[in-house]
Amino acid sequence: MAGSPRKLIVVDDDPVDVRFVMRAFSDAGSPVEIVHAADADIASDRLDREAFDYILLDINMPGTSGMDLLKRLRGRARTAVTPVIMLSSSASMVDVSRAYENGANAYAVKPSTRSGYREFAEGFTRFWVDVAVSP
Amino acid sequence: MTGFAEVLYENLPFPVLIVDAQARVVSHNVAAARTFGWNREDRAPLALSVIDGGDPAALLARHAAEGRENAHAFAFRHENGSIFEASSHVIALPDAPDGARYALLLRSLLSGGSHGEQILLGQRIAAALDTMTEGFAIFDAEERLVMFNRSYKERCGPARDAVRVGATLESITRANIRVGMFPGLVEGTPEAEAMVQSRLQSHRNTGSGGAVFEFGPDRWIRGESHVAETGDIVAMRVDVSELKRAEAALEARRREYFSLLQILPDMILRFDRNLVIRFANDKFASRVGMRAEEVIGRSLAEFANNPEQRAQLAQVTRYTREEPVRSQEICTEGPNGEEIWVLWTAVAIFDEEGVAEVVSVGRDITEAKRQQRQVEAQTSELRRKNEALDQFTATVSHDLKAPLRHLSMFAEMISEDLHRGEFEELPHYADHVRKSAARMRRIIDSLLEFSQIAYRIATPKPVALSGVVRDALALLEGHVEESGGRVDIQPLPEVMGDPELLKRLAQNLIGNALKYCRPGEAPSVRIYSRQGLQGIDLVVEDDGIGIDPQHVGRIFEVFQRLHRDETVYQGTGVGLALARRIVESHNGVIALDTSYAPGARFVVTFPQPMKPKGSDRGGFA
Repeated sequence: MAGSPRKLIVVDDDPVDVRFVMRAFSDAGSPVEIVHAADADIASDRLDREAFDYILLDINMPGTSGMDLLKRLRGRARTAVTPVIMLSSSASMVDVSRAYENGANAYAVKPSTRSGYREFAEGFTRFWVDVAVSP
Repeated sequence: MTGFAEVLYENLPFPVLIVDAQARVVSHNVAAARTFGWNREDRAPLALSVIDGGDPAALLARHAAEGRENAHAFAFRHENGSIFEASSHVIALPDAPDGARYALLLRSLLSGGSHGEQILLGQRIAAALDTMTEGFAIFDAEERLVMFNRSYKERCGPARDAVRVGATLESITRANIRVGMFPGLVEGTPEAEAMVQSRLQSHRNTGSGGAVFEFGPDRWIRGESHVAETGDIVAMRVDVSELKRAEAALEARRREYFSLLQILPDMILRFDRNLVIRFANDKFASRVGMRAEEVIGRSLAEFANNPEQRAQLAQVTRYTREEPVRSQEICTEGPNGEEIWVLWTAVAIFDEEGVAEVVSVGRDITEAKRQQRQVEAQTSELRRKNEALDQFTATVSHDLKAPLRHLSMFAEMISEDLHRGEFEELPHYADHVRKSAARMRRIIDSLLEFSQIAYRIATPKPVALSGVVRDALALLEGHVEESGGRVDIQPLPEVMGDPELLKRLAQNLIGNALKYCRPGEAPSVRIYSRQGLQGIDLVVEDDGIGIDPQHVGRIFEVFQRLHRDETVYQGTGVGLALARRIVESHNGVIALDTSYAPGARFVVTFPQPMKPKGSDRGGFA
């Protein structure tokens, strides 16, 4: 893992949750570079201009929802196969199924504890950064 | 012959001939002249035997010897040369000066008769008339009985003896009254006298087709009278009891049918192709405030004021043989302004010219309609409750969980830092805890407010929208001043609803219009109403940031927020959901007019108050 660090964009309207995610990745010692987009439209614009290795996507956001953004991203050449990991408050099976149907690569429910966040960040890094082969 | 004998001989109604020994006619009476055809001009008996066959002298002598009470058959020669047989008494006249003389008294025609034998025929006719069941009588111009048949006499029962030649019709009638042949009539009463006069009147009123009267127990007679050429009046008595009974049975059936039509809870109306009402039952008549007799004969147009109905049911050309039945539900206003629903079903009856008649049955379905509406309202309420429950579930899973998760996280972080003895971040975490709790409280308050709005207003009443908007503006005064905005209100109509809820609706819509203004610009809000196709539109429009049309589907859902930054556009996302619920509880519709720009235009459509125009007189109206 020489070269440039992997880039992750976190799309979430909740700044607190974003802080938890950033802190968890930092606590886990993950080498991932994290960019925050506060809503779907901002994320959409940024992803149009800039290449990211991973997308961490919330569902329930004001304006365009995470689900709609996912569909939009899958329709674009640049982001058609970029790994998208959903991170949502919802544990509803409807949301889970729809996310996978629309092209998500993984789905996780937002943790309620610090250790939960840390496990998420560690697991993310171990699999997506250390194991998985990027497209 | 003496004078008396001469007159008797001449006027006897039977033919009488005086003949000599060779049966040559010496003399004859008038009746004989008629029988033998000698009564016409230049006709007189021939100078030969009036009896056909050989040796008339011997025949006459023999029969005369057998006694005058016996009649014998003879073949007589008619003036025209024909032969006819008739029975005759042969009486020898003793005092003839010039040889034997016989009187022949003809009794009855036996054969070979011709037009000349009326008298003889009379007897046969009388016998034939006796076989008739109808009563038959001839009265002369003075109303005296000339002849009658057996039935005429027997019909009079105990009064039969009053029926004899020469009796007057009046005496016969009185005799019948006396013995009680006219049921219910007592001799000497004015009613009995009236009956006598009525019978005489009817008798004199010849050729009129006759009159029917009750004669004897449960018997009905039709009396007819006709004038004969001779001036006699021929009276006929026909027993019409059977007919009368059939008529009575028919009348009874008609009444039964009629009472059935009246007992039916439905209104019944029959009209012809010219829309003239031929029948209306009491139910219909009372609905239009008339008596049935008054309705019949009037035009349907007087009762069908509803144009839609005129087109549907009263347009005769719309009925076809393939589709003769039409039905329509018609709403009218009752005397107290209440709605009355009537289901009219009309069936056309055709003749060769097309629609001959239309029979229309109207059933009051007001109650069924009310129940149907209730079911519809309950169904829609249930549907809305289900939707709300779904939204609530989604809300709990998304929005309520977020602050809860944050609380748990920060509490854990505080606890960890305390454990580690690190205190710098603690005030910061505590602040987050407080904010999360506050956010949670706001969401719960909104949810409660939302769920407390009834799905249906219990007692809608007329509400002036102008007043409602004014009250809402008073509550928003601070916001208006703060924003420096302007709210322009046009005159607004009245709707049926709940004033408190409508005030909150106005407060929400105007509040949104003020809130979502362009940064740095003073908002401008316009409120006006217009008559829409579906009802009354209340329009609230602004020149603010507007709403992206792609979000239209979600804006009325609970906790759907379009703006991320709560510090700029505050709210929990419940406002429009609340507005929608209020509108729906008024059976209305709220929509965002996506064709409007810049800014946002919300259109609330209230149902048109159901008030039919004009004063329909119910019924087929």
